[in-house]
Amino acid sequence: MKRTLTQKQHYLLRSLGFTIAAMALYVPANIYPFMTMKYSGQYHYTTIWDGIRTLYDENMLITATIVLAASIIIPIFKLIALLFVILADMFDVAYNVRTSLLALIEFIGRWSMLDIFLVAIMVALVKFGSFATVSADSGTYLLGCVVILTMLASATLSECYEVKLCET
Amino acid sequence: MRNLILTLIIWMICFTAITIGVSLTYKWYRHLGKDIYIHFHDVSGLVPNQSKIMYRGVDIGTINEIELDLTTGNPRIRARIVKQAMPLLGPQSKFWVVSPEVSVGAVHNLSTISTGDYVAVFPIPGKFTEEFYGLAEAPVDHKFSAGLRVVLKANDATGIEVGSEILYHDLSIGEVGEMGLSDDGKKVMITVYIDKPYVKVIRTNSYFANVSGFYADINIFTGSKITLDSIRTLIRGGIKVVTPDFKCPLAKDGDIFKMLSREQYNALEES
Repeated sequence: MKRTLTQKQHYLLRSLGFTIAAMALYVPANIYPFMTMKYSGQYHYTTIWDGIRTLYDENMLITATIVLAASIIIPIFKLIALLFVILADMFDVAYNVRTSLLALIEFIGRWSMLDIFLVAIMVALVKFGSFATVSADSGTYLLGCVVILTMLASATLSECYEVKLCET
Repeated sequence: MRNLILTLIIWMICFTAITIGVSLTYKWYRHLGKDIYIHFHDVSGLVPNQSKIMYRGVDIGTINEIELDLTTGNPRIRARIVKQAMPLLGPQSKFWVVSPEVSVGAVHNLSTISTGDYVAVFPIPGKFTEEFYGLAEAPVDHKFSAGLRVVLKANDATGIEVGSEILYHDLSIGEVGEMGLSDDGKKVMITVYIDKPYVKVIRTNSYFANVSGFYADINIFTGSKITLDSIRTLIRGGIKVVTPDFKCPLAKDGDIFKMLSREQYNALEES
């Protein structure tokens, strides 16, 4: 007996693969430091959560909220929404709900690169030789991978919708 | 066929990502330490989320929070200890704050001027404990744990203080650790620590003499004489040790010696 996958199932499986990979990397991306600051001979490792707490302690509520939304809430929402759209095919979820959710994922996706930009700016600005330097740490690379993987997942999924395979 | 290969490649990426994610999370979990609380009398110079707990220059933890313990009125710090260091911190471990110190004799801990103060620990392995009481200053005996500890008995401790030097041929070979009274309250007991390389200098026939301050013998008939060892002993005090010969056996840990006063010492030197 030979079973072959339909083109639609291929699309969904690929998207699911990307989503699960992103989820697996999302956990270490948050617990590993995303930035290493070295000043006056000491290293300071900052995780995303530490950064948000520092901003909050410094009374920068708006910035703290933006960073919290961009680096914690949006990726979680994106991953759950992707999983939902992929699995929605099995259940009878209305077509326009799925497409609008997909559009939302694509729209907010660009915001999740925010803290990559933040680190990039910090690294570029804070270069005082041996006195103080900032460098990107493993958390940034992991988060970058998460963002790329979710982008690939949503791109695969929207391609499936564009070629009208996932319409029913 | 090409479709299937592409899907398989994506799933291989997925499994690689799962492996990396799980192993990194596990690694993080394995290194996750525990919080300890240390009570201090004074924590000036420590900064939350920045000051470290160091053991021989190795960072074994970070201070997360400094707060006032309302029941005692003393500051209390919360620190996260790395997992590998946990078995070292038994209930007897000693903690103290290290800050720069400039005195007549020496400059200590100059590096803390740029790195900030830190908490040093002298670990005594044992069952991991969460609550500690920090010392007001660095314990002296840990520095000399490998050396020799002898007790000097004297009538008075003029000019001697904790940290005064032990001089052998004007070379510093140790320092005064603790000072206290004898059991009957009549004599002063001074515990001194001799650095390890100089342990063999102290024999059972060695004698100690207080050379703190200066000594003036003013006599209009025979001429006046002022004895001063060095500016350091003038300000910080000092104890001279003389070993007449090296035939006698080595002194043992905890041996008691008599400390001569300046007059007794001078008289002995002239005879």
